[in-house]
Amino acid sequence: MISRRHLLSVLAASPAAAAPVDLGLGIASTRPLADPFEGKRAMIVQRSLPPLLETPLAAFDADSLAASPLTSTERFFVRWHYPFPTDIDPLAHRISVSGHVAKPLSLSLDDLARLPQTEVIAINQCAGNGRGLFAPRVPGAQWANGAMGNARWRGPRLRDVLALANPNTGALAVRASGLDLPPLEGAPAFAKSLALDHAMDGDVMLATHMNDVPLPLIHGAPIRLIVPGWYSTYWVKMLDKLEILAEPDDGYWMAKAYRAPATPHASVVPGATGFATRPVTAMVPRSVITNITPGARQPWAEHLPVRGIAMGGDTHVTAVHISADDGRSWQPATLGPDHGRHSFRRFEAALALPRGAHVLRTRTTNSRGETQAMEANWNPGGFYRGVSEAVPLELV
Amino acid sequence: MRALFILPTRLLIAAAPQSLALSDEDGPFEDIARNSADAMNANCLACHSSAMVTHQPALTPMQWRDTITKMKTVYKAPIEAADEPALIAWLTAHSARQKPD
Repeated sequence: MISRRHLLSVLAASPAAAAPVDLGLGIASTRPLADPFEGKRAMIVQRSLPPLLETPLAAFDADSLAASPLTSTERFFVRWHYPFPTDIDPLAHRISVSGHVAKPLSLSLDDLARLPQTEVIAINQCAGNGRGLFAPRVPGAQWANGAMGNARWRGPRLRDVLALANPNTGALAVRASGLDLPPLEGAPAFAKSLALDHAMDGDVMLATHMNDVPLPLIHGAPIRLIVPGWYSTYWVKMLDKLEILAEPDDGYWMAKAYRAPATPHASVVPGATGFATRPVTAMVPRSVITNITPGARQPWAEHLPVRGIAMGGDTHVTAVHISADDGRSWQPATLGPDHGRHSFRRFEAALALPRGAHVLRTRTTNSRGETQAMEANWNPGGFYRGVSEAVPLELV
Repeated sequence: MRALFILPTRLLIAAAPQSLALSDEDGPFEDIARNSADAMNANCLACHSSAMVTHQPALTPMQWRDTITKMKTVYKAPIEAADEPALIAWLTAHSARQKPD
């Protein structure tokens, strides 16, 4: 049964004074824009508990291509499935490495700090980013396009951690889980697996630091998994367990949840059933305009500045193109510095447009030549959104 | 990625304890016309605050039924069969009230 104490605390809660923001989802589109707790500022509150906080796209904006590509930690999106400890003592924390290994271990952060440390700038993006924009709509967290952020992560490589335990021949996968636990007995604890080859590739790492400070509690202190180029569902927070598996992971969070159609763009016709699925994995190219709100009506000027951020998915951004006629014609945008294949890359253009109605679109191309589709994909989980987003605009 | 020098251990570890105070700012479910929110408040808030529900798009009674089934079978929500009609009624009434902005 529900705890009475919890219910009473809910009933006693006073709604925060917060300005609402319209996410452009059509139905059920309005959310509070609030400072929900210490360390977070001006976030779109999708849900108080467990917290779901979205970053307004304007928070990614900067007036210079040379500006940092990092998302400030106080504006960085937050996504928890289950309750998690709200007191963390890093010195007491241990990570067990168990299963199909020669030497099961219990490691402290001190142990991990003795390993070589690495760092990467990498985008952390929810697999359901943009789910609220699916048409027809699908249930789930109703994100617009701000369930993503870009940070500098620092810590040891997973490869070096696993090597300490010496996986046995026949080891297939590594299952990671953390201190977030289901509130009701019998529900599946959150755990995600990577193939052993992927876990050992030297890019997958454990982060104790985010944007050069100790990882904040809300982002998974004292240590979380970082899987550059792959969706956030794998970036297990408050990591306390690494299990080496000799069998494929048949747990709920791999076998049932976070799965998408095994089709191009993970897309099916709405209402389709019986299609094969596979776990969501690597991200796809995306771009968003950060200085113009869809549906904006603004004064005409000789040149309209258009700015934004692009991502290649799991590889470099090599081009961004901009259209002001809903995708009929395109011109290249100017790119900012390349901060690595897992980072946002800034872009900008100045468009000479007449007064009137326009539809802007942006389209990223990555170093494999992959680009964004003009038509949105659809699947019942609301995953892998990567369409070139339309931004209607009226210049008056 | 680039390798860093191995620094003295204490400089690298995040040793300071952290704590965070979270609170439910979503508030309870509210009655919708003749649909009491009592069953919603009794059955839905043990795992998540109310905005998880109120921010969903307009779903059909069948979609809401599937959602309740998922909450029971996957997340082990102890929802009494006797409460389900009231839950479906409230959820359907909520969906019916959703209009494009």
